[in-house]
Amino acid sequence: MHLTVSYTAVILLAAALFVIGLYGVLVRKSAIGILMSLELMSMAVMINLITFGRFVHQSPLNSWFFTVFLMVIVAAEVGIGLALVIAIYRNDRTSEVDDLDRLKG
Amino acid sequence: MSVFFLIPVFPALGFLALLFLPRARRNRLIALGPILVGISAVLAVVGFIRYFPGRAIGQSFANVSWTLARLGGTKLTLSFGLDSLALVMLTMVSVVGLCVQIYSLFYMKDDERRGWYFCVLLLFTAAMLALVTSGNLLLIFAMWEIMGVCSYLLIGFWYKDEAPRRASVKAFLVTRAGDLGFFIALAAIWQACGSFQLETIIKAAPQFSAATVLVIGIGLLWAAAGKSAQLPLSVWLPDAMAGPTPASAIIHAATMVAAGIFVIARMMPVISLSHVALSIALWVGIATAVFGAFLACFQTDIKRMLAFSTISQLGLMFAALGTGAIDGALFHLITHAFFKSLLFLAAGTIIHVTGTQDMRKMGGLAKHMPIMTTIFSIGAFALAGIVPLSGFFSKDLILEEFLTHGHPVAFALALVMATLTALYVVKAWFTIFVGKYRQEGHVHEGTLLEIIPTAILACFTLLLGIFNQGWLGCLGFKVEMPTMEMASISTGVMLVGATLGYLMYRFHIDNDWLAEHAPGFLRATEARLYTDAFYEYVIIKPYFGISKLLWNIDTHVIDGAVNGVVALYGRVTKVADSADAHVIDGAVNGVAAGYKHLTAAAWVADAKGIDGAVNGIGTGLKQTSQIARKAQAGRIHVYQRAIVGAVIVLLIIVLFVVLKGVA
Repeated sequence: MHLTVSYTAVILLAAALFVIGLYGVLVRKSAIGILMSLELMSMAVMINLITFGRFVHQSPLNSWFFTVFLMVIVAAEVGIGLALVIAIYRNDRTSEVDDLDRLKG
Repeated sequence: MSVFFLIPVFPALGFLALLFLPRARRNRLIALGPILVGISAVLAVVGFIRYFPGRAIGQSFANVSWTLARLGGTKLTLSFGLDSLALVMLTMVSVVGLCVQIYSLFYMKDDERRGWYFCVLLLFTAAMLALVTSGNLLLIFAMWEIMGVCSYLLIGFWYKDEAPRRASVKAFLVTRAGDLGFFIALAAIWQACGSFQLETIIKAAPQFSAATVLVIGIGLLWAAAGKSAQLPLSVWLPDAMAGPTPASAIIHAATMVAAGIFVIARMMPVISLSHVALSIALWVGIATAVFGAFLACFQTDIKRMLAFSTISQLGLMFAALGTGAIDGALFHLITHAFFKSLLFLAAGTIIHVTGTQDMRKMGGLAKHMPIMTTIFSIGAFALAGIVPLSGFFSKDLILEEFLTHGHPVAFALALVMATLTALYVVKAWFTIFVGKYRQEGHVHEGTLLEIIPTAILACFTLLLGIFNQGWLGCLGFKVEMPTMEMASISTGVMLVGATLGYLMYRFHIDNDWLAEHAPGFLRATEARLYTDAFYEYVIIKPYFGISKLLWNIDTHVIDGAVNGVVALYGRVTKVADSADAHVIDGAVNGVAAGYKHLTAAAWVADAKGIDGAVNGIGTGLKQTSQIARKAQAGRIHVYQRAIVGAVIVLLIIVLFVVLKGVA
């Protein structure tokens, strides 16, 4: 199986995903929105990993392997993140990150 | 590349333009919607005339395709094809879309999120237009999903209320369950012929094994049943009426629900290879047709009645496809799209004017709004199948197909459905327009923005039937005018239904009467013959049961183990605590007492010399920390921006160093 999609196209896709995610992280007010944006960013990372694995190394197996690991880790991370959001929401009745400034020095 | 491939592009551009604008500016630019869809509509009509009279379905006038990627030896392509079926659909969707857009200018004018409404409507129109021109099943699937999302967004448009929210989730989940079938069919097609191009699939279809054809057929039928609200996936459509009325008109009555029928018609050369799939379509369709028409008779809410009527009409089309011929179903699809969107838009005006959706609270509207009454009546009578409106011709064609393909039982059931249709239409018509207005307040005629689009649709409803030979010839169909026998049979059952409907109105045989004389029957109709209860007991309840079970395992077994460990730990620490208090504390206290004596002497030296220095440092630190404190805003965004800024600076440095190294 040979996938002849151009290298730049995939990298650009990953870059676009990453930047969209970054934008979301910076401007989203709700913690859930931020988590979703983070998710996008990690997707971009995975795409990059696979692409470089394919185009730089001739054997893509390593990158596939790591990506599967990454997926599991990201899923777990989102689970924890959502649990935190729920816990925060139960305490403060809000999940807007601007209202959560108890760490203010 | 033909210019007509730009038809879906205009609404798509409008969607992109509105999407990225802030709300206030978006709200000011809503006129973009009707303008862009208008351009598409003009182009579509021009295309229809340009290629008139067309060729048989599937022989395209123009093609365009891009290769996205190459997988092994096979190409993954995006392709569009313009054949006569696509042209007819393009014209229908863009004209109905244009009318709905114009009407929405009036209907949504005071909504604070009207910009978003038009934005979604544009995306929906673009997706539907792209779906009908698409020459690739994968592309059809993508557009199909986009329309699902638009439907979800528009049903839940007034998300602050409970009902639209619930309805939108329900519609999304149920149609998603249907999409699973599409996915399975796609997998089977790929496995069988390694391509998603429609013409390749259709050419290769005769070589498919019987099992493959069956899987493809049932998968696609299941998907179409989800989109076109056929049993058992019909439960979402009546609830979908919680959305804005013009959106219901285009999405949940005229076009999106027709997408299921359209896809089946497109894939008919494959599906018709399997007799099992065909008879499933026939019987599911006819059951849905009777089911929907039956329930429509007992609705008091005007939009709900129209929703059940939509389910029943789609059922008739589905059944017509089950005969293996597509002309009747496509004919009815087009005529139904026009008269049903007309009915919805007119109903929107009636609801707006009377402030209620309950038909029992209306009445006597014919005196106060004669123009709207005329327009609504054209739609309603087309639905009932009265000569010479479009619904009469298309329904008769379907009835005839049942007979010529040897399905007399389906024919009889379709007659029952036609009777019921005439019954509820006539009953509703009398309830709404005749008698005395049953509420306080003044009723007025609709504005020009309401009358113009509905009048356009009414013209189509009047003319499509009479001139059917002309435009259906474009699809390569040879349509005869209904024979005298068929016309008299269908007019006969229509008259029976209409008389029954009038009698029910005249003698007040309504839901109150039923509640008195047959409460069990009324309860069954209110529960929609228990279709919702079916899902409640088969899927939702067991799901919650399993969740509850897992919760119990969690709280009792896992938490119990954790608590046990904690309790054990508590015991151990108690022992350690008493040992600590008596043995170790004693020793420590002894040492401390000695130390205390020593420090008393050191204290004096300390207070004088060292404290001074320490306080000095402390004050200095405090002042520094006051400055540093400002950075500790406690806000995530401040930190995030700092991190991102730092990363960018680092990147610049690294790039600088690297580039210098390269140079």
